[in-house]
Amino acid sequence: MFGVERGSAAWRVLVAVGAVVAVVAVTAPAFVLDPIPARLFTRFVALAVVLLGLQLVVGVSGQLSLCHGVFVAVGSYTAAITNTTWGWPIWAGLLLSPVTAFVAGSLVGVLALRIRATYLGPVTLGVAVAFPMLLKRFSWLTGGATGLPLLREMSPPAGLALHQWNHLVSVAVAFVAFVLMRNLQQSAIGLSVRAVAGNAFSASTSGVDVRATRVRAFGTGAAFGGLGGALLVIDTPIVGADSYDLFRSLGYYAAAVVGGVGSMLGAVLGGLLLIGVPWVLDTLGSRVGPNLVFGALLVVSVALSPGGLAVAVQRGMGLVVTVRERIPGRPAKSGDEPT
Amino acid sequence: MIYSTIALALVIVYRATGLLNVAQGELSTMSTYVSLVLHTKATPALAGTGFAAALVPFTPWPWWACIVGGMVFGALLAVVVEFLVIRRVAARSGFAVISATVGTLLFLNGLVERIWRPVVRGVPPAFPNAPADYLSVGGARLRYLTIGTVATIAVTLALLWLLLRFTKLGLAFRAVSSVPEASRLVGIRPGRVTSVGWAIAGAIGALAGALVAPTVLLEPQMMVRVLIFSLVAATVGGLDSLGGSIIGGVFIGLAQTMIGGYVGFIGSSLSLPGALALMIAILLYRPTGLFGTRRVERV
Repeated sequence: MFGVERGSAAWRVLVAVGAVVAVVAVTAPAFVLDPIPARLFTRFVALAVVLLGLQLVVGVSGQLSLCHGVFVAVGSYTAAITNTTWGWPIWAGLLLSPVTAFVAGSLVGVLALRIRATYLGPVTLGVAVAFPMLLKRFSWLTGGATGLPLLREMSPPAGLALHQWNHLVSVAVAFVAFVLMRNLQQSAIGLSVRAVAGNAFSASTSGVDVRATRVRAFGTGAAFGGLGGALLVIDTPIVGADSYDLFRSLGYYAAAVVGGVGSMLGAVLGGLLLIGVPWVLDTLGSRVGPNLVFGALLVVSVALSPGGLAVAVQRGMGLVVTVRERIPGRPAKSGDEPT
Repeated sequence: MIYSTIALALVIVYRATGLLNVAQGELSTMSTYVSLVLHTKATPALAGTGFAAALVPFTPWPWWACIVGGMVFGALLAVVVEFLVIRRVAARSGFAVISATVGTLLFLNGLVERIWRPVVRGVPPAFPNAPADYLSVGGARLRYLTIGTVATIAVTLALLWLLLRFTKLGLAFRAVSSVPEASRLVGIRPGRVTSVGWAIAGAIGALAGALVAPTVLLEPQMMVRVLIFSLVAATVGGLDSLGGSIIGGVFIGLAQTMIGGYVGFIGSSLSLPGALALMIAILLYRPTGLFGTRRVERV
């Protein structure tokens, strides 16, 4: 075990190496594996972006959301409708999907302002159940239960298969999303979101607009969900109303909590779970459905480790490397206790 | 009326523990399967029937006895869930409790699907339901099934009211739901009272499951829609008001049928979003429901 100080040369090297390893590890499968297992990794990348939004809403801003699947669906449908019905290129749909999901999220967020605490559970749950019915009712726009295919797929540059190019695009978008989320959480806006979650009253005395902050946080979380939804639809080029049912939203919630809410690492771990659990069950030939496993994981994780897997992983990494915070105005001495 | 019943179960748990049991629907579904298993001869088509035939005397039972059996099972299951899961996390935070009930929902749903397969099954009606089984009242046909269901619910409600109003247990229950610390001081054991609350809710949920199953057909996802309508009913009525949950349930049932039937744009396919919009509208004006206790909340 050794310690490094945040901002020092050794720390920078460590972060750079970590980033390179992560990017390679997440990109390589598309070029090493067969298309079908490789596409699991594409879905993993997209789901990590989805959960990135959910951990912001539930973890950082402290608002319950059992309808994240709805925002994912809004993103997916935005990508599919702009592409198939209106003939836009895919990247335009990718840009638009966080915007539409932000609008949807802000609407639910406005409801969440007035309906607080215990009542928010049933309301978001109801939104999750009602949304597929809306999709079916307005089937002239959404294709209803039969679904809407993505007609104009991207044309990969020479030498790359379609699934490889999709994967590269997804990784690039996810990278941008993670950087954005990190900066957002460290910015003044992120700080005010945390302050409102911690104690809304003292936040308002410090001049934070509590209501606007809450709605913005909900909308932003939804926007990341929508972006992830658009990425999902690039990988699986069809959207159908029945695939966005309640259990999808609850699955996202379970994965986010088990992975660790309020932590970007938790979103990655949750994405791994969402892909890994069904894959493992499938490989084992088990007849147990993923719902059972996610339910059990959620209960166990809530009972044993409130921070989710992210805390456990961070603790495990802490055994190898500890990062000391730099204290301004005082040169760090060697042999300091790690903080 | 079915919505009233599940809403009642939700309200009882809320009164006893201050939490909204999202897993209530799955508890009902599982109990209904148990009722069906008790009613069926040993067959490989329905898991557990061989088990029941070997262990439970006199199976297959008549359907009413199976409903009672399902209610006993529902009560036990609810107590086990509360004891193993909810009690462990209750002290931590509202999020932990909601997460635990969501986890229970997913787990029970997966379990039911694993045991009984995602197949739609018919369930015998609790009351005679042949085409000729109706009373004619002023030209309107009141089916025996409807009368029986309403009567069952009314009797359940009356029994529950008597229990809460006139027994020592009911007094303890009301004491714990209003001031847990003080009730501990006068010698009530809150843990035990909470278990009783969950048991009652589990039994009522099982009854509701058995009553609703003939109409919506039994399958692992059966209670999702019912649960949402019931949540709407409970919140519209006010989460801490037993009478409110009944009125809310009737109101939502009527609203669903009327809006679905008369507003062409909405139709039956949008009845649930319609009911939901109604709930949101009511919650926006009265955040604790129509009959709920108003509460002063710190900002």
